[in-house]
Amino acid sequence: MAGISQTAPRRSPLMRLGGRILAYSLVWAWAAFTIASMVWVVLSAFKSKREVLRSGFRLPSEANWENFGTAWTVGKLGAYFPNSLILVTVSVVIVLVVSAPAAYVLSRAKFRGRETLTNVFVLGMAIPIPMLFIPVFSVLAWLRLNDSLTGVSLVFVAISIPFTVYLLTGFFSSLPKELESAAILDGCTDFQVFRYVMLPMAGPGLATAGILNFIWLWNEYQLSLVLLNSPDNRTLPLGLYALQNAMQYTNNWPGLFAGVTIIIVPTIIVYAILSERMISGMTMGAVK
Amino acid sequence: MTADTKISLSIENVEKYYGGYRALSDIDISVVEGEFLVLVGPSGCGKSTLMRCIAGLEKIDAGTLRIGGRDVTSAIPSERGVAMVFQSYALYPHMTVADNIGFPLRIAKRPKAEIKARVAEVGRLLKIEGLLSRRPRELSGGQRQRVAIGRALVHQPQIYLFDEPLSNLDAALRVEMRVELARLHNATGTTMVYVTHDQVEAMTMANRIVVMNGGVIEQIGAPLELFNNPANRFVAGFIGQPTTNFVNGRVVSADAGAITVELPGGKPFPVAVTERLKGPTPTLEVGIRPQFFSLAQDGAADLTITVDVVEQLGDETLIYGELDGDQSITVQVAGQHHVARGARLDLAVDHDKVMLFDDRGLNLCRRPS
Repeated sequence: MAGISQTAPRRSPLMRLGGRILAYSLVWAWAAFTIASMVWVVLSAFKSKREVLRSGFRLPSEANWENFGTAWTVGKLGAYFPNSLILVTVSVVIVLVVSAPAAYVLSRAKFRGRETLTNVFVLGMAIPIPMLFIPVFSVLAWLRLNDSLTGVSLVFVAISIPFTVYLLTGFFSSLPKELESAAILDGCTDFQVFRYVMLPMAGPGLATAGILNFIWLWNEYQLSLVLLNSPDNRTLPLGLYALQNAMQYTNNWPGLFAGVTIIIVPTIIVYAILSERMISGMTMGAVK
Repeated sequence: MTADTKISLSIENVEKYYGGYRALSDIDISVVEGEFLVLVGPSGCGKSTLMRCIAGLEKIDAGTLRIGGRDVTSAIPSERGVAMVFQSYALYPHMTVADNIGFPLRIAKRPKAEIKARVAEVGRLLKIEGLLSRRPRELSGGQRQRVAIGRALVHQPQIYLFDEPLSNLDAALRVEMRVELARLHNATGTTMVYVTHDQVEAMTMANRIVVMNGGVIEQIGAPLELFNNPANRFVAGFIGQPTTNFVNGRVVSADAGAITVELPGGKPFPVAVTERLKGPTPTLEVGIRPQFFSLAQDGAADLTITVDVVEQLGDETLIYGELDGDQSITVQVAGQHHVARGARLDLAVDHDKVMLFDDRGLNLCRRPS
């Protein structure tokens, strides 16, 4: 560390100020764009067909709740919502259950090939999803799990493990080693050290991994499109695509925006519940 | 050590390597039951490594460890009969104080009623009964340290291991906890091995001190024995506060029982020695503790220094100066003395307390205590 700070070039106060202004401007611009888009979508979800293209950011003259009804029933989001909720929740739980012990062992245990194994997980993050379409489809067909939520759940778990293990490995590495030593002296086996001491302390890391995976899998579209054919098994992103197709012929843009609003609500709820723990996880060095 | 003295911990020829680096070399220590043994030395000397080896958190590469006569060299930590208090307290942050203290019993699957009773008992002993439902983050440094000690106490081990337990506390709290640990040792009568780099802690708490440096033992002895009769230059420099002055002295004459030396700008004086000089030696390193100087009366000066800095501590005065030849000298004299910076100050030395070190750093003046 000392070496880095000694060799790092010193910047003048003016340059530092300039850099800070630039960084803050970008962050604010990004935040403003994101918030403006969401506000526009939510406002539009309550507007009438005539109002939506003319009034911009103005409040709707009256709240058109029937847009949500249209998206829920005509767009069948009501049918797809439980599919997504069960699929994503189960997948995230399994990902955490599988990844946490793996990450703990990779961060703490001493064994030959540990670094190679960690790198294999990191490598898993670099594989583009479209490359997996054919092999995954074949494997699921062989397992007779094609066009099923169980099959997609298995795939979701598999593609989420590399990132989750990577994230949690960094988190477990940042936890104090003395706690582990204390637990061993208190009579814990390796599994008990993990179960009673390290896992509860990794709460912020697990929350971070949980929320990031939830958002990612909730919005996952490509694999679901390839692996799910039956309308009954569709997830919300597929439903939204179908809704877009339906609405563009009827010019029911408010109905589409109501559908989008319905879809983003769960991620906002999950974020609201876990964000505090997630932020403390990030500040503890879990996310680099 | 008498014949019926029970050995609580026996460390025999222990060696520890990290790759090619030898962290511990030929460590040989016997700790008597009920003894308070302090391992002391500078950072990186191997004292914490040795403690972790005793605890079983590190495997030793050679030698034998026995606890209560039982060979525990290959035993897992929880089967060694030791409990450890860590520098950072190592409290489980997600558990309450009661859960922290009771955790070893919970892991040992003791009945809940027993756990509750033992936790309450330890809480009373350490005066933390009112804190049992709090979490570690809601406690002060001193309270956390008590909880950490409580978790060790509940083990009822044969040996307590303390790894620099007071170094995260402020000065006042450190003194308070030092006294409490001494009380605890008296109350439990259990063997304690204590690691510190603070030689004041070592001197005040230990029955015996092990001075370590570079992975080897420099000397083992009672605190005053180390202060009065350090085996070598390292121990003389490490034990004692302020640190010992080391000055190059010219050898005027060397007889079987005494060597006469002369310090720069001073007059020759004889020093009784117990070791003979090996061969002709023109100079020797002279060690004089700051406490063994006094302000010289007319004509009785052994040396004269030029005063640089004076620190008034109320009951004593610390004077930092230089001998001719730019060798630094620290003088500690009782009472309040007002000396101007740059003044020439005549000093007398207690000749019976002067130490001489040969070119290997060995003390030539090991006097019987």
